[in-house]
Amino acid sequence: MASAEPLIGLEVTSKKIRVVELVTLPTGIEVTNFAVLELPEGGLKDAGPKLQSLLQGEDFRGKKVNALLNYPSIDYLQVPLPPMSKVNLSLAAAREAKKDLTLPVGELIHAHELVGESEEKGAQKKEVLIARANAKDVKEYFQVLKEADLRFNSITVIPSVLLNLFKMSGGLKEETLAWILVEEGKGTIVIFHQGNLRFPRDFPLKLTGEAGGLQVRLIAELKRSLLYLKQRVRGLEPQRIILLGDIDKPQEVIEALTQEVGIKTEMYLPPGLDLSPLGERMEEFRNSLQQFILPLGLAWNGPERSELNLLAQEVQSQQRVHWAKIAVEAAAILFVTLLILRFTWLWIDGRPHWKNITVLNADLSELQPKLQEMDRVNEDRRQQELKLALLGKIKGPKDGWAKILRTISLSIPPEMHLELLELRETPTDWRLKLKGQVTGANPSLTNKRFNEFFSLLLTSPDLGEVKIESDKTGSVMRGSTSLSQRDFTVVIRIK
Amino acid sequence: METPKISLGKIPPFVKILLPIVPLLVVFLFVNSRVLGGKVRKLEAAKGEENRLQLEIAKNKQRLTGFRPLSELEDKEIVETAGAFHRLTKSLRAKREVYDKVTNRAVSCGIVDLSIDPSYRPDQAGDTIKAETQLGLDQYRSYMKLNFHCESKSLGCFLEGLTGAEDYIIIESLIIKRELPRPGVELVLKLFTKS
Repeated sequence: MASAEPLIGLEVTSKKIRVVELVTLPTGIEVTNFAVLELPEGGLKDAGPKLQSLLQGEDFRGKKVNALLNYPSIDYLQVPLPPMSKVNLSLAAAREAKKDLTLPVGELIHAHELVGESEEKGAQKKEVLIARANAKDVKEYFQVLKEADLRFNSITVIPSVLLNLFKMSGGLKEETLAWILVEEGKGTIVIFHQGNLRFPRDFPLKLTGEAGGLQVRLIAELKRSLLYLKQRVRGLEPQRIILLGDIDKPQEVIEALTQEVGIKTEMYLPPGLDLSPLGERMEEFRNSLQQFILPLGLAWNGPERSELNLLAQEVQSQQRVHWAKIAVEAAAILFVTLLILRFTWLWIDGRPHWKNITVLNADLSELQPKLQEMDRVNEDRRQQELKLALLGKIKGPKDGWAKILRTISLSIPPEMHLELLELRETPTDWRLKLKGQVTGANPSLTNKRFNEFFSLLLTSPDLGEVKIESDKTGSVMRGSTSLSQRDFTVVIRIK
Repeated sequence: METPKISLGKIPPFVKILLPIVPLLVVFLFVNSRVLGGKVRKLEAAKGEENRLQLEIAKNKQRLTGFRPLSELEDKEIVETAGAFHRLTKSLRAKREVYDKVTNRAVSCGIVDLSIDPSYRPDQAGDTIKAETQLGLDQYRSYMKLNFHCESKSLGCFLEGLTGAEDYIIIESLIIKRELPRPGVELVLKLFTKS
């Protein structure tokens, strides 16, 4: 069962679109689907919706497409370049891409791939395959696939696909092989030498209708190519010729080529394809394998696959768009999740508090009658105190005012001079303030007199609590004599 | 004037796709601050209310711990005091009578320079006045300010005769200043009389 993402190979010819879906697994290659679509009258630009319904109808699972653009929208050239850095190679490839343009180009896009190494006059060269195309055509193609709800992975050229097929079949690296692809009205010859792509060439195949016309054309083109190859690289001659494409009577062509060129010729057979996912259509695919040979090579996404891609920048941009969509969706999910989490946290955090408040309110309500009773009783007590205090004050001091005044008068020593006696009512009793001075020859005498006075006040049963409010000792001049003086304020509570 | 046009044409496609993050963020912040922020404030208020209730309950329980209901004796005392108070308000004299008593008393105690200000009012309402107001004695209260000179013996005689259970006079203040030949006395009496 395939678990990797299926990849679609898509070839557009002048009349048809051929599609093959593959899954490349470590265990092998599974062909999971294939289909052919006749191009509508409007050509490729009107094919998008039809292609979409075909893919949906045939139950294609893949969305990523490797596609092939046909001449004249695209062409290629292979150039040997001296060894250089990657950056310089890119610059050199860009310069080469602009040379000898045969197609009408408004805006050129190009891509290059290192396809092998060669030696020219004793100097090492890097063989670079450069694909170039008209940006307008590529964008149109891109639009068609977009309408078909497909996602571009790459747009490439035939030699690159043939290189893929070569790598897919695990071609022998020591061999020199000539691969000939036969299409409607066009053929392509490529030479592989020691695993490198050495010589790609397209040629027209205008058949005249005479018997054996295809064989004659192929033989002539092959001989021309081999001659060119011999001239360029002395002694290089293919050991085998591999034929690809939908050829009528292939056996006759094989025999003719073998006989005329003297090199063993055989049809290309892709190795180890697992066709079981096709079910009943397995036989149909097997019989029309050569028709689907290019989409097959396009769909293969093995480890050594050719990476020539005219849409590299576009794919990068698409990937950015893809990731941007994911970022937006992720942000939306993140925001919603954060809001839900915060809401839940607040709810969980708040629930015990709401419950507690209800319980506490109930507790407080239970306490209210007791508190009201307490307040009433306390108020009664307070009123009682106030009334008693007032009634008490109306009666006057316990020992009478005359006795209190007499006690104070008797307590005053001769050295003491009272300035003020002030009585004030308080809510419960009276407060008596005595202000005065004691004057004497020396401080010990004044202190002694004051202490005697204060002791008398303290011990008098007629008076309540006695306090010193202020007390200051100093000296005064009386005539020419310096005397000690103690200024005091005493507060007495009278009950 | 032509309205300026805003074009997104030159912005890369992936940036255009990323743009909805801005309104999403705005909505997120709005919901977070307004809706959930309101909830947070309610939660904080609930926590505060919970603490306040807990404190109030603890405080009230503490108050109740020290509370003892009125004993029978207290109850009896309250009733008796209320009775005495009631009698006080019923048996008040007229202010004229009190005035006469004050002048007569001064004469009998040898105070010859007595001057009376019967319309005296204290400047500030002290705690004593507040308590009397709470007991409903406002309507009966009035003041009398006396100024005179005398020795302490005469003053004792005067005061002794004025204050007593039936006269409902309280000394509000008494100031004795050292003046010659005799100390100067300023006496403010608080009277509870019929109006």
